[in-house]
Amino acid sequence: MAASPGFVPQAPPHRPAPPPVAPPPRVPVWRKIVAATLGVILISAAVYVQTFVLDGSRLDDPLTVSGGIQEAVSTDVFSARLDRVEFAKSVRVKKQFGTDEDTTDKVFLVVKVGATAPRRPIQLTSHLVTADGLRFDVTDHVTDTATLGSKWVQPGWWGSGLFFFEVPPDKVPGARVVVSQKASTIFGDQYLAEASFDLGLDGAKAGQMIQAAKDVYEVSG
Amino acid sequence: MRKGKKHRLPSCGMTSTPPGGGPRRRPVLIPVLAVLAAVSVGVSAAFGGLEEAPDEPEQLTKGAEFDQGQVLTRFEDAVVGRAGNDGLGVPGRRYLQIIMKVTNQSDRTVSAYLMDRALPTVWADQKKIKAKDAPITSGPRIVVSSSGRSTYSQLHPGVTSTVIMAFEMRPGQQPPKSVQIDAGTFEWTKTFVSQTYEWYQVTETAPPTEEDRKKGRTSQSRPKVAAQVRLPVTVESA
Amino acid sequence: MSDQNPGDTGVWAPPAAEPSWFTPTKRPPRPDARVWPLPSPDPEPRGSSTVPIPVIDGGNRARHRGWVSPPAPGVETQATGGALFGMAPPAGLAAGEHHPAGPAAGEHHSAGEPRPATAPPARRRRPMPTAAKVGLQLFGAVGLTAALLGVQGYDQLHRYEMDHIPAQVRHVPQGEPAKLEHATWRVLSIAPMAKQPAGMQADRVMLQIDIDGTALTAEGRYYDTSPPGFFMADDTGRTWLAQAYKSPEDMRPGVPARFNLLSVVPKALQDQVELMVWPSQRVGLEESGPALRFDR
Repeated sequence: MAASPGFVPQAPPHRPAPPPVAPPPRVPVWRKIVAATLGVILISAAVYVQTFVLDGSRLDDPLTVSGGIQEAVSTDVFSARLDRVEFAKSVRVKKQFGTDEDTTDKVFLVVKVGATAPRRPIQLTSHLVTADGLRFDVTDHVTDTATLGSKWVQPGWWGSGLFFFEVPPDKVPGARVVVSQKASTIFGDQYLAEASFDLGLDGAKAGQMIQAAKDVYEVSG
Repeated sequence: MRKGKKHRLPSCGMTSTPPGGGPRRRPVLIPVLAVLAAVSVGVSAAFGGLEEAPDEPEQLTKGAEFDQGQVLTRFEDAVVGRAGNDGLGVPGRRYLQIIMKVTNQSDRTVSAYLMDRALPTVWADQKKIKAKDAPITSGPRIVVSSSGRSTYSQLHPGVTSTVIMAFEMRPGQQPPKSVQIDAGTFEWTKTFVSQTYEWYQVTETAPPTEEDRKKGRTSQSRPKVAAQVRLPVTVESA
Repeated sequence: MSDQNPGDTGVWAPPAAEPSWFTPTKRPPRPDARVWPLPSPDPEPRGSSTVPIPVIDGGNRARHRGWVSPPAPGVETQATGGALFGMAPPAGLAAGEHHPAGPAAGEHHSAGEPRPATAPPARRRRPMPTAAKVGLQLFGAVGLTAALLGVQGYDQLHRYEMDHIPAQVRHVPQGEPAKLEHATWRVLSIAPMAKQPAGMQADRVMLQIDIDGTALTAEGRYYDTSPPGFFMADDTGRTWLAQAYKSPEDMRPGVPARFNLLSVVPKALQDQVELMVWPSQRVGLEESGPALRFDR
């Protein structure tokens, strides 16, 4: 099949040769490599993007804004500030008629929270998350009326109140206090706003504060 | 001696040899597998099929500890006594109290009324005093006792609390000799609908009760009893 | 190196017993087969019989044809003329066949595979420019992704709107009654309390609001035990709770009943805030559904 360039034979050679099978178009090696690399990158990217898909347990997670102590943290529906942390061995609630006193074999962690709302009145609640992820609700040793949980937070000014937790002293280091809007448990609310405050207590500081815990913490409620 | 040449591995061309040209290969493996499969099916059928063998509930006595999944329960005592100013009940009335030490093994605070489901049925001398479906208002009071002055209802994570299940007794009623408690378990499973993990009570299907039959059900789902606890009842004087 | 090795002494012989699948045996010699040059493809490959249906001579079948006698010289000149005189290669060549050797080789090839004189050359479209092809693919990918996200977003928005009914606030002129669900409401007075409670901060003021409610239906009677959601609202949309400190003891249909409300608002806004009534406090906090706003 060697045809010298420029020479055009008048007739093809008389040979019953098999018809030339059109060879597949040759792709240069570098293009193959580029295409393979691009394919691998695209597949990896597609797999990686899947990691952003929230699984069922995280879909109704609250929207958390974090902050430290005495730092105003703003969410869409309220702003909160954790003013101070104290410890107490017992809590005395002065009521209109008589007083309630309650002790614990653990320790009461008392936080004072200031809060305001941008637009609408709102009620807040709180929970404490320990360093190892355990979630403590506000204690029922102290009546709700003595806490911020029973008050309305309204726009235009900062209100303040207390939240009480009953925790084992060894769970205090590294704990966070989370203030959140009260959920209506019936409807399983989504996208609840919450403000998370790092108490900034390491082991030594927590031990020292618990040692110095008040014998009686007095509130009115 | 170039013996190796004769016995080289069959080349690819070998497979295209027309059948009958080479030696016949006997299919040995397939009959053997078939026989094995038949034998294993027969043996499992003879031993009651692949259904889970019913396991008998564990029998426990006073002081025993039982892991219920979400909680770890230690059955301390059963006492008949009068309520004082401890918030347990109306002062002066008699209560049958089942006293337990309960450790919350989950990662969040739960209500002590979890024990209402964790211990579905309670008998006092063969008489059922707590049924699994009874409304919470007619059932026993379940409280957390810590200071002895008041009662609470929270079980905090990782914390062991004293939980008292109290049944009110009628005036003049004879205290039972013993109580028998059915204990169920919880498991951390994925829910079908929302694909989230939660603590769910382990249940089993059972033949329907009369009431279920009236409603047209052919089976009932009931909490699986993993342990039965028998506690002798001590009677406090006065 | 064939199987018939003359040096084979036959020391090892296959067992005389019945051969099994694992018994190696001497392979019988293979019949001669032509391996080179490659055997020409079948003129009629297996399975290509078209007996009931006559063959339609498409472009592809041409390659199965064997040797075709050279066409008449005139035809050949026509077929190659485009390559000889024009700058563009013949249509058949441009459509994918690859000829790095230049126009001469291409011409030779087309001469070696001549088309039947009567059949027109197969029509092939001009290939799409690479840029256009990539652009189209990119557009397809982006367009489909956008469509998917759009549909999902629309679905979620729709669901959100089903759950969160927007507020439908009706403004009521001063002193006039207005109907909301099961009752009509009329504001009587809004004024700061004469004796402000002790401990009230200087920037706030407690307002006392008197309002009459008249039940219209049987359901309207229940407002005495569960009063509707009363709020004070300013012009920027901020709201404050107004709570009933005195509710009527009994609400009978058609008989006005008095509600006395208290509300703490910023002092600067005490003459501006207006009363809003929602069917319940819950929808008032969510600001969804019908509501009344009484102008001052």
